[in-house]
Amino acid sequence: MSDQKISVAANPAVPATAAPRHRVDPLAIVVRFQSLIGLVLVAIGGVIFSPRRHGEILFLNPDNIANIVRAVSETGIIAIGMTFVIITAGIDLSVGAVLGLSSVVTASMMISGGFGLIPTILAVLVMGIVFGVVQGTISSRFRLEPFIVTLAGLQAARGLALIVSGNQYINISYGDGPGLAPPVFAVLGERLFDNTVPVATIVFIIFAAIATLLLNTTRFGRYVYAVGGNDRAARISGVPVSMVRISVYAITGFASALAGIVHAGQFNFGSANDGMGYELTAIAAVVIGGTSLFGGAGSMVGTVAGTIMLGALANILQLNNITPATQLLATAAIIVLAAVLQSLVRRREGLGR
Amino acid sequence: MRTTLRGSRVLRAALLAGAGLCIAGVAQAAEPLVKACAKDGQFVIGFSQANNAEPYRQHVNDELTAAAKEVPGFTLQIADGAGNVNTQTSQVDNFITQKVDVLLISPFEAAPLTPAVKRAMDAGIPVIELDRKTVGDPGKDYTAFIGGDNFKIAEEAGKFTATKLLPDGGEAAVLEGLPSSTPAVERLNGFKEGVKANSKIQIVAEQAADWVPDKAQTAFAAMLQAHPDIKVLYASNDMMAAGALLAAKGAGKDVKIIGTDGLPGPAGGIEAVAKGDWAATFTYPTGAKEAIEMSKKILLDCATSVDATVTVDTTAITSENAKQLAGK
Amino acid sequence: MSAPLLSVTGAVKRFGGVQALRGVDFDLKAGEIHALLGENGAGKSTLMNLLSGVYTPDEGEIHIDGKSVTFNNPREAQAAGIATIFQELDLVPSLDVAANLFLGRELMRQGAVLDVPAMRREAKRRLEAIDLAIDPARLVADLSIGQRQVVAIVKALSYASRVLIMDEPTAALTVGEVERLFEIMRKLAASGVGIIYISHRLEEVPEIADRVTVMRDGRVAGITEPHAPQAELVRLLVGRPLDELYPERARSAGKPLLTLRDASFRLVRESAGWQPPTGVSLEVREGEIVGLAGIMGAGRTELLSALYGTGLAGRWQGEVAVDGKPVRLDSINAARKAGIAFVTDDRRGSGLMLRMAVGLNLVMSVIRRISPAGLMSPRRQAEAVARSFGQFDIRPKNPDIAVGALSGGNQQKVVLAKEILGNPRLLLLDEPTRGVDVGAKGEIYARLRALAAQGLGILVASSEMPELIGLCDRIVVLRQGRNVAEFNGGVDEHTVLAAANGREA
Repeated sequence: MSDQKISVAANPAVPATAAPRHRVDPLAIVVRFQSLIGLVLVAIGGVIFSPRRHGEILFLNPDNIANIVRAVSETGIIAIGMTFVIITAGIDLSVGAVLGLSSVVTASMMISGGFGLIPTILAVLVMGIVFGVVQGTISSRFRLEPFIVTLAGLQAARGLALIVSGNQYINISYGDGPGLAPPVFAVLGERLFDNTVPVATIVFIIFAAIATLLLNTTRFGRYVYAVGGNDRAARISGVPVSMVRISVYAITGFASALAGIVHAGQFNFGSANDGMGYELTAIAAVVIGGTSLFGGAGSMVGTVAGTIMLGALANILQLNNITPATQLLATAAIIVLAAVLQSLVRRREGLGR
Repeated sequence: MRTTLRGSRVLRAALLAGAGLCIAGVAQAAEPLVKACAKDGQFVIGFSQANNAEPYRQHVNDELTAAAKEVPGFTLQIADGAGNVNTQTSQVDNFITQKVDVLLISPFEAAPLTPAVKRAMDAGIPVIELDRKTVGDPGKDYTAFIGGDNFKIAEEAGKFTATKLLPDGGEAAVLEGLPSSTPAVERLNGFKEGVKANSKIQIVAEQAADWVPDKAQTAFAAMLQAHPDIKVLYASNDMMAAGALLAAKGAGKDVKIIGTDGLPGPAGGIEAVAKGDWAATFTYPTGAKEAIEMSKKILLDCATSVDATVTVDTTAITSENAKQLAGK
Repeated sequence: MSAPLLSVTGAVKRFGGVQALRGVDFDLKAGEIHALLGENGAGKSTLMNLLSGVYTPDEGEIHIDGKSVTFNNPREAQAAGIATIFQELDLVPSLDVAANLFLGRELMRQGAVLDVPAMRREAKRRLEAIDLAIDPARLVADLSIGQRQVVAIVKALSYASRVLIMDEPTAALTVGEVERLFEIMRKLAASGVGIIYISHRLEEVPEIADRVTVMRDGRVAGITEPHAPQAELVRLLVGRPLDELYPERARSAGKPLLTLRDASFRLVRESAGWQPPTGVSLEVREGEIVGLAGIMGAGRTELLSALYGTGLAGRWQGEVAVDGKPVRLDSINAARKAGIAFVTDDRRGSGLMLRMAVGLNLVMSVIRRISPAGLMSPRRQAEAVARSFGQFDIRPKNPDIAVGALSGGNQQKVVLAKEILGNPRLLLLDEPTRGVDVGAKGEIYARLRALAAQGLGILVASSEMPELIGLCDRIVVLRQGRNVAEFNGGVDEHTVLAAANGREA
């Protein structure tokens, strides 16, 4: 939220002396930028502990960095959507399942449905939005916990994916004609600019940029913070609370569908099991990014940094041939640390729990 | 990448053409596959495993680790794809970054891992695929495939039933794996083929139990109700065989059970045969020793070409050899 | 002379950049009831938290019987005999009285099974020891607030029996319950317990306290005897003589802004305890401050929330007009379109986004205006925030800190400033100075009067009679949802009370 600072002194009507500098709690700064700091620390650790080959630090090898950002692009896209929901003090557990459904629908529309690229992508994105709108509306209209509604949504999406796929993996083959997908779709699995930058990552970055602008510079973004900060106060101030609630679930639905399309394009197949467990990775990235599960506070930059940090951590551990068990334990420690830091700051600010 | 070939079809074609060990393609260049090869060099072998959570895959990891330890210059790194194609792809990419000297891989799914395998080949890293294949042909799109033949393993079990267990005929039943999966279909068909050697044997029931013991127990209990005279049960993996044994005990029947996979350890099939609970189990070979052997050829012996497809034979584990193998 | 039961010397406590205590000396004798007064933010709560082990002091010492002690957590303070009863009573409503009294210290049979009869017997004995006949098997949820308070005291005394700290124990009690509580307190003091009694109600002090310590700005402003004149206490509290809390009244009112004539609010579904406006006739003119008086349950809050569309679902019947034109006030949007703004009595619950910055809270009701084409304009936002800071003396003067970290008075200023930013024509205020200290009260009154002078109409509901009498031009008395009397400002308090209670003055 650093870009939301408001300067009183900017207005000539109020004398500059009216805004004396207050001592800023250093811990608060650490928390505000915790995921960026964490990312830098992991990067430094990566450099220090990186295996070397002929003096070259493998961790910093451009290919390796591309590997890291490619591997996190799907969960990253989802985490970006999840950030909106969590800022409103909600949660969306259906994201991984909607990714699976979307990848299955993408594959089957192009392979067995014979649809073209654009209609397929549009249909899948709309499907994701509709899925989110339905969840948001049910939760808002019947005042149900989003946890419950999206838990049901998770089951529903997996079930639909199994039906659509007929319990089979759908392989995507390319070419012209029936049963083949347009070859241009395979670009999602490629790397641009002299075979360096993964296309999946470009999608992730563009989506992140749009989401950052949406959250920080628009009226809607402000409403999102307001609803999470105190929905009753927001309602009294004239904020369309239900509309905002429904919209954030539409955003996660869209993000999951986008991730599903990227998944299908990267791996040339769709399976009902795709994206299993992604919801938890995404929530972890959001929390590490400094967004509070209590709502009202959080940042998109933090989420992106948190996502990349988890990817970099997994990478450096694998480069050093350290077991996945250690990786899980390290992630656990980071999540707890992030949460403890936030809690400490809240207490220092006298805001209690 | 025009179409997706199921690996088994290629394999079976190759089998029809030749023997258990066969050569599908020979590289022409006289240059060694890995230029940095040396008799006493230090080499890193990366193994990208599909999903450590499956007991069979853990068994593969153990065998590979043991085999690699025998070679002084080899360091084996295992990455767990955790049943997620995205994770496995990124792990292959990481191995490429590390410039491992040989890449071993059991892809979780064929098509999704194909591009990653291609990147490794493009980076000059020989790729040996274990048990499961990516899209394309061994010897061309990847260096080699080492694996067992599900059809043939099950056929052996069928023949064993026809000649040893039920030479005078009788009723038999089959527990199938997850219905849509390739190995499930191949093992079912293989067993039926093998049993044909004895026309007095009837297969009276076949049901899917999705590879898991609890479903196997339920399914086999129901079979025994319907067909009390079942003499032999063929289970398409060890876990289902274990479930079937519980059902047989529950019904008070003495049924001869055959497992598949032949996993070691106290809960594995070898132990069950040694204890006399099952009649036999047929190992699904991991190909671990063969993979390390092939890596030695490439890295230590500077081989210019290797066999593109290596089919490893199954071992029948029966009362004759189980005790000895279990004690190992 | 023997050492006091409890003493604090030179206590200093900082939170981040804020110094909550700046060297406080305090002592408590055995058997004494010691009143601790102070405005919000004066440091009372911090001092109390030091004594109860919630915080440890940065500097200074705590002594018990003259011996230095350190409390690292509340358990250690309890072990030393200090019990604290917080405003939010630590009782579990869904458990019965006995279960609450023994929570965490349950009596067991054979070390495994709860011995419910024994706990009930013991609970009954303890309650009777202070003359309270509550059935230990009753659920706490079924008790009155006063009874709960006593249960909390009994519970506290069961694990710490030398010092009892009570934080505003009378805040939610009826007059009769307060009397009862005071009796119990006197009894406990007579048995040698030292009681620290924290309160906002100056009028209670002479009745109960043996000694008074007044805190201001993290220091002790003075120690007096309880029968000191109120003016003296107020001077110590505020730091300056309180010559004029209420501003001058307006001379003339403009044309009618809000007109209700025989207006009733028909609920879609009746709800117990929600008194809908029933046949209300009243008028608020431009530049006028109109007060709503009435006893609890008379329908003051309900009238305001029905006008603003935040109450229960329902619709107005009879004449409801703004600017002389009939309007349908059935939603927040309709009310806001009609130029109506509303300040809730529950600023923490429904007025503010506590963890968000002051500046972000201030602009909440004008987001549309500062986001042309849906994009937030930082310039317009800064202007709006600066305007609020220019109008209200919100401290600290920093729009970037979380509003939850502000004192109650400053939070209330933020809520008011936020609604004023929207340029309403009619402002509905519910308990505008609840939990606000005296200094900030005076400032809020002055601000409201100044806004009225610019033509704003204000309808204010309050349970503080002096506030209505001092602030308002006219006072409308509600009883059972309808207006039963109307007085000019400055009227005698007893007259209004009589009307509110349905008695002759």
